[in-house]
Amino acid sequence: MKALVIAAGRGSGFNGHGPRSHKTLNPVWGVSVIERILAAFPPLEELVVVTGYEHEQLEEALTGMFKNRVALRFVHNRSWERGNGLSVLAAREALSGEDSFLLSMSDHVFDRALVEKLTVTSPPHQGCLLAVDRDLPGVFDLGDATRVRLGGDDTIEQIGKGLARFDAVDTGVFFCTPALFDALAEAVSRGGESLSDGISVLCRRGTMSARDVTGCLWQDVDDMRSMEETRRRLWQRVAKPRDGVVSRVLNRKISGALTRLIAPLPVQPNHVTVFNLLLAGCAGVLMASGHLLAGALAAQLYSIIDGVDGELARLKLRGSWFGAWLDNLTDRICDWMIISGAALSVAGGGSSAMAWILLSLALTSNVAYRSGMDSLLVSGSLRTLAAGDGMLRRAEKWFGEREMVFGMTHDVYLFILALGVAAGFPLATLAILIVLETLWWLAKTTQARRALPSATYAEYLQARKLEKFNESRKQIAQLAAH
Amino acid sequence: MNLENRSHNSPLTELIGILRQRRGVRPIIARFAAAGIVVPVGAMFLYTLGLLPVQVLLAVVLSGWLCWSSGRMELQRDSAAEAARRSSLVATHTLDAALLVGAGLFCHLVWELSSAVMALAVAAAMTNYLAYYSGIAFLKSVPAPVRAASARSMVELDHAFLATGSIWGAEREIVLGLSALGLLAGQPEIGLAAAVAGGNCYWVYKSAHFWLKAGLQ
Repeated sequence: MKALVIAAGRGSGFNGHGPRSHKTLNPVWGVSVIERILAAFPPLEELVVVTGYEHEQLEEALTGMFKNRVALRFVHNRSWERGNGLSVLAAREALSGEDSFLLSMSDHVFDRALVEKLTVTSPPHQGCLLAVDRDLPGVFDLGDATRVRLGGDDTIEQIGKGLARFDAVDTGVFFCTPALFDALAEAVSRGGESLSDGISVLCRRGTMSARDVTGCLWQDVDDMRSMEETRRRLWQRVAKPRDGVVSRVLNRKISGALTRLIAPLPVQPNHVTVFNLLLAGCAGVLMASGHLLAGALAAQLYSIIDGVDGELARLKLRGSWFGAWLDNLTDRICDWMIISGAALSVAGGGSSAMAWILLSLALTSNVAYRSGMDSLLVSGSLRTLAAGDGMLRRAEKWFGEREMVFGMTHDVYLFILALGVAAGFPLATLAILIVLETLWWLAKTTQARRALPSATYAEYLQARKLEKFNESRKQIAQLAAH
Repeated sequence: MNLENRSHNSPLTELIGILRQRRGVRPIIARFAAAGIVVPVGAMFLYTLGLLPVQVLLAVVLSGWLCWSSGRMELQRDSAAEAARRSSLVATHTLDAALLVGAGLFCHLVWELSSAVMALAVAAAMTNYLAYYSGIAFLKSVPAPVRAASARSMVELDHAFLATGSIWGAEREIVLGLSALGLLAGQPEIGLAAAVAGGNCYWVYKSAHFWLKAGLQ
């Protein structure tokens, strides 16, 4: 699939106050608007960008930005100071031969969920599909929004900024067929040069439909106020839904401030992960050398910063499979370094044998606890099965309802450990954690074995095959009936 | 729409392919499963008669545990339910850690070797644990769209991973095997150091190979 982005305008809303000369290059939490647009699109065959104002600088910047990421094609619109419909029309040749394509303004930030909702079906024959938001009170600067009046079957009756009666607003993202170009040409021949004029032609033909994307993230970024609003809305989406109690009450508040502070800097999430590894090492060394308070503070700081890499990855669209894997692994190394430091601090009182025994028990119980928690309860395939097949639906329900209530999450574990060590009771704290971990593991394993069904892998495969067989049998019956 | 994209699913397919390639080795280990019980029992009998030094007994127990548990995992591959296999695997790796750290404790406290042997035992246990946990971490970190789009691959991957314990297959054998060899030779420090170095080198090589090949770093 190809996508078209209209980036010909000057961006007068910023009045020279924007960080960059082109509004599409303005960074929002360290990532330019156009990078966010590309991240929201599905993998593209080609990205067509219509340029106009200071086109050479923009083309140079985009070429450097998207090198090895997407095939770029620039179309220069010499009449960029006139209506934006002419910019779309300029891309007609670049998109010839396409059955459908995505169209977006260059100053709109939106998420992938919006595009996925929009493209779940093809656009209407000889028409277009527009993503609209029906949550009117939630729209920022409703007065400036392009308004949409809907008819029956989600067709669009009328579109424009001056509509007095309207049902939704335009999000600036379209799923189009080449019929849009004919409509624009017709509008231009009648003196209408804006995209809304072309869309109005399609509305009159009855081939312009709306797709409700209420709840998805989108925001027009055309002045400093809307830029601030975009930053706020993006930040709201960063929170992790399954945080533990310490994270919710303490860690996220501090880590959030840190993330917002470093987001505009060229710091990558993996840098934070590696820094945290060093911090946990320092915590372990400080504890082992008898500096209990400093060690405990470093351990808690590690727990706080542990949230920053994930927040940064989500905020700056830098999340990667490898990064998530590395983060999970370093968490375990960090845990062991802190536990070792706490256990060895006991040797400072002259009981070396006790320290080593404590360390052995603490590490062993930690293996059972963490592996049990992650492998038995939150492993990907069980959740997939639960969601997809219904075979393990009972287990999924069980995880969702009980995990956060009774589970001792990573943040809670580290907080108890840091608190105990800071108070000068590493031996007692580790002993309590060993007992809690072991009891938790035994209880959860027993419960999970009761909750999970006794399906084997072979049975699962058989169920899938039967499902496919039944599906094809139904399809054949339907065909025969027709 | 983009969920069915090949680039999303290919690392899963890639990993499944890698795991499949080494499946042929597993039944050989499974054949030693019985020996994993018989030999340590015999060794204990000889130890009570005073015919076997204690470090040799420890080495036999470690290697016997390795053979028996590997065989058990192989046997459970297709016969046991998901939950039973999963909890049994967690227990196996917990016991791995307990045995390795326990061997270090024995060498330090009973055999009165330096505390370095204990540190090495902890490092060996950690090597083995991280090798196991890297599989769990991989499953945890699979992006939601891939998970939703490839339920079949996820289950196959989980199954293949669960059947072996460690994601690349040989870390457990390297760590437990070299530690047992060190004890058998009367040089537990060297054995444990070799286990740490060997296990980590193998894991780093295999992981780098996978991530570079998958092109997702």
